[in-house]
Amino acid sequence: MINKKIVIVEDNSSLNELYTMGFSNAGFEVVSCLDGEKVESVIFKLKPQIILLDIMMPKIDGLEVLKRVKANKSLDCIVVVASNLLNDSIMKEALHLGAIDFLNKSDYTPTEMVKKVSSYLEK
Amino acid sequence: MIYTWLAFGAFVNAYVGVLCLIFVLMKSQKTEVLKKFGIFCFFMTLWALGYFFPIVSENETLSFLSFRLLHLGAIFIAVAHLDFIIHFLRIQQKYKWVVKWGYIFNIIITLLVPTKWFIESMSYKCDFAYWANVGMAYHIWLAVWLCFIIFSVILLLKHYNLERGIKRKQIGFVLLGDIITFTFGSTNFFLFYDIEIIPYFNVFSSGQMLIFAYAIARYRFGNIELNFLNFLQKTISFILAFISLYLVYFYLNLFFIIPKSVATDIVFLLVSLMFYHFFEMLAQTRYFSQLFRLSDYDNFHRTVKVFNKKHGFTGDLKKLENKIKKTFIRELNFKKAELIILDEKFKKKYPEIIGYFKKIKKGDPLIYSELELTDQDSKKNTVCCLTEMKNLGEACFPIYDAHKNLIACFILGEKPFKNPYYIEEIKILKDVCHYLSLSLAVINYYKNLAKEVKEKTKQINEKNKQLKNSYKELQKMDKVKDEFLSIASHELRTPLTVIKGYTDFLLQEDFGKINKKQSGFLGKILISTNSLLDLINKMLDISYIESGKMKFSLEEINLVPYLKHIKNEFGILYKEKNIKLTIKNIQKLNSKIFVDSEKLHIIFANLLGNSYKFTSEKGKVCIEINEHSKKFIKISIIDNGIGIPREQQKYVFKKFQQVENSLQKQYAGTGLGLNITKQIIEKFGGKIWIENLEEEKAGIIFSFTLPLQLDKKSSNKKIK
Repeated sequence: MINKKIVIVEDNSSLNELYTMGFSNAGFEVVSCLDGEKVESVIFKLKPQIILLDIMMPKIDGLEVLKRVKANKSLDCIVVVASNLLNDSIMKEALHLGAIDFLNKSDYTPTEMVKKVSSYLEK
Repeated sequence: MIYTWLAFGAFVNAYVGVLCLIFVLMKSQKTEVLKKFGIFCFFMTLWALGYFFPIVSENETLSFLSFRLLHLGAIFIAVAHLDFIIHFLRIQQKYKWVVKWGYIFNIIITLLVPTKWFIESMSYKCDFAYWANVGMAYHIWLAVWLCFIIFSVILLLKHYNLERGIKRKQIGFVLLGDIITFTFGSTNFFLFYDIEIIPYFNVFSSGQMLIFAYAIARYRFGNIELNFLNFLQKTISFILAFISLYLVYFYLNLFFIIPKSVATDIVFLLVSLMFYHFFEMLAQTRYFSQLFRLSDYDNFHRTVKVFNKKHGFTGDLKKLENKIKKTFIRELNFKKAELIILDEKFKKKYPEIIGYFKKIKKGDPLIYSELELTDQDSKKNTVCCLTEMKNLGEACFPIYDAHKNLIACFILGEKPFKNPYYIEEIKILKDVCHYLSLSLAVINYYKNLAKEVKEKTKQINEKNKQLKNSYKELQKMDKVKDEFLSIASHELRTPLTVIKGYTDFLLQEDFGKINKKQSGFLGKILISTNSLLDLINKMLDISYIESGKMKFSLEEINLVPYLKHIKNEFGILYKEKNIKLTIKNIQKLNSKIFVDSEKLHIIFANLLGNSYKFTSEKGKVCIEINEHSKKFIKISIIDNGIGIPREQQKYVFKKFQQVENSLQKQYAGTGLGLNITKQIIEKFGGKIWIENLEEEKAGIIFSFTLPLQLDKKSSNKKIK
């Protein structure tokens, strides 16, 4: 498992730190963003296999980011949405837009989250 | 010949006199004028009957008696006539004394009739074997008699010039009758003075009565019955037939000798019948029947009958008004026909009429020409209506509702040829008013109904509007609540996720070693955080289920692999407490259930989580599957944990209810899990209940049913 790259989009700085630590410890090359604004350029630069995307964020929300990422065909990556906003319609829309899963952040510790996300890479 | 003719004349006069007398006696409303007319007719009859005998008699004594008898009538004719005239002209107050003294004088003369002063003797005169020779008293009486007649005629002439309208016409008729009668009747007197003029025209004396009667019928004094009119018409036909027959007989006699035999009598009878029918037919022709208006009545009767019955009721006032106009104006030639609903304006304009109708309540109409002719005495009630009626129309019929309240007036104008309203017509018109009353009730009913419907519709529309607004408001509030819930739970979860994350990192000792005590503390933080998260999630679930917001996507699930997956998933957890999790009867069944897999997972998570919680280490938990019905399968989760006391079992599915047991205080829980489970199962169409194990065995059984997949058609249905 060499050169696993992930972009973490999470506006909560503590969670951002936790996930960054978790994925770094697991050997991922991590770039984290605190909002959705620069995600596209970051992805373009890093070319990650996977993105961990929050929904409720300032400026641009997660669904919009997801839309843009999926609209840009040069950015080919798996998007895992992880949010504490458990809303049926948002969940459905996210899955419809192309997210591989919609995870409840509070269900997972960072370690568990790394495991879960890694499982998508293995598939 | 002369005898026969004069006897015939006398007979006709008597006949007409009796006829008119009967007419007066039969009248329901006897006015003073009619009574006086009756008295006049009585004396005329007496005179005519007296005349009949001296003419036919060839016996001196009998003739003498007859002449006295006829004068008993004749004496009073003039004064009775004057009495009638002054009442007719409504000047009785002024000339009452004349009549009074006239009667006194006549009574004195009557007393003199049997004496020589009145009729001296009988002798041959002209063609008569016995005719009276008169005395002094006769001359005085005749002078006074003529004075009375002349006075009556002068009064009539005077009033003919004064009066207008119907009254003038009536006076005209009476005057005509007087002139005919007294011109021809006075031929009686010549023989008494030895002038040889035979009273051939005596027969016309009855003409006066007939003309009076006709005037009564045509321009009525009081009310008039049609049958009298009919009778009058037939009488005239009869008299004319008789006169014609006589003339035929008279002229035939000039040229032939007619043999006296039964055959001749029969021929004459047949000829007279022919004449009678001829005159009757003549009377019924359009021109003559207009004199009596009989055919007019038939037409009226027929048309109104149709108006009342054939058209049925209409709920439309306009239609009813048109119908009235069509029937009465166009078909029956009335000058005016109107239905007036009593409104304030009408009540203000015609207060007397309204007052009169409110008082009588019999349905009798007010008729202008009638009012005009009414005696002063009986005018008290109606005299004030006269001016109002003049503006309104010829006849005004009241229309009452079922409670005898005056609701409308039916106004009619003059009849064609200004004919009077007959009693029969008034009866029919009263029926029309009943019909109109019913029609108005129907119209009113429809009107009220329409009004009520309109009002109710308005109310409903208003309520709808209110409901719509409330609904919008509620929707808005619901949306706000949803947003609040999801955001609030998001905001609660995020810091808990952070706490959970850091605690986990510390516990994993990635950032330096921690001692046992610290590890214990951190473990407790982690457990508390998890239970807090669990509580938040469950509360959110409940709020979603209860508000109907939880969406169910039903799908076909193969039960066996699904349960195997569940066993694997929870097996990891159960191993921590060394609890054995087994599935029973799984081999026998190959069922497909029709549920939402995510929600089904919540059911198993709650139930298996409970079993795990309340079963001690090395315990046993079993998932047992059984057939339940054609449509459902039963799944039971059996544990050998602490169980639930029977009396508390009914509370376990309620919100925030955890079994009150000192032992169980140690078990953390929200008391929401079983409630959520129950609600989800019920949404699937199934049910959940508790079964108890055999006595002395610890543990509990939670059984629930799930719908089986029956056919493909229902697989697409969604539960809201």
